[in-house]
Amino acid sequence: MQLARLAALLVPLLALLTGPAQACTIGVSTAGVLKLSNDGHTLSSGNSGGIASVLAISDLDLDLNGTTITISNTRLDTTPAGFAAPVSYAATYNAVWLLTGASGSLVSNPSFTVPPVLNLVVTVTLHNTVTSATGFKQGNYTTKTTVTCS
Amino acid sequence: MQLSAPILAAALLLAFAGAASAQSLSPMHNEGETPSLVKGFKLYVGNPYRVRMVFEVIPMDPKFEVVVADAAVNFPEIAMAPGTSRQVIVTFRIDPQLKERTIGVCVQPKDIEGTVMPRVCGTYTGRLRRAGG
Repeated sequence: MQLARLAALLVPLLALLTGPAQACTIGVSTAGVLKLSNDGHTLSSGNSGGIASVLAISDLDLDLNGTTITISNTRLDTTPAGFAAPVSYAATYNAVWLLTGASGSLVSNPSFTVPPVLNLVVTVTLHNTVTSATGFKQGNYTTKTTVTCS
Repeated sequence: MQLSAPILAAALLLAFAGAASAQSLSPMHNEGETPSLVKGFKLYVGNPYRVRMVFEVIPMDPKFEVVVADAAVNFPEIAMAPGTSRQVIVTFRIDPQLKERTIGVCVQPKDIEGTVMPRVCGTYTGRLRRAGG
């Protein structure tokens, strides 16, 4: 009987200590800016005057397998009316957590895995590039890249 | 005042506060048996930030590349107040020949502006319970 009472007291205490199940939260801390290259064929955050996007990924899953973060599907999200030139896409990233990190691109190592560490925050710096052999029509362009936490 | 072509052509990406582009999904992995041909999982979608947001909850393949058939979410779109979480139920049919099926579920903001489409995805496996088991 006393054991049952003790268990009834301990269960809510344990719940308080462990807190809610960890998940994954992705926040965009810097949106980034694309700039046109001098030859007019490349829009990139890596060009002079461009700014990379910066993401903070936190509340990571504490599953022993860690959390996989994948960079994919870079595309043009906004273009000037009438722009239909064929383009190609590239994206590179540099991720940092604790004293280590990972880097890669859409083609090479688009995913990396971070360890299950409590309160870990992964900072990802992302450069997007759009290339057009025929150049870009005057106007505003925006890109979008999918970042998946799984 | 006219801006030079390079400046005009530069893509000015909208400043987008981190608070407006984040979500959470819990648990991110689960598995279980079902006595019927349909398996359901209870998931929690969270909006831990300071902006009201609408999220899409999408059943996908385990690699999170395509939307799958024979799977549904009771609230495929959820408008959530800041700092809240909400339960959704994902259900999917299991082929009796295969006896097991894994699907992905992704949560992403609807109509998001900015440079990044943030997704949080999980995988969920359902197995048919053996007769007498």
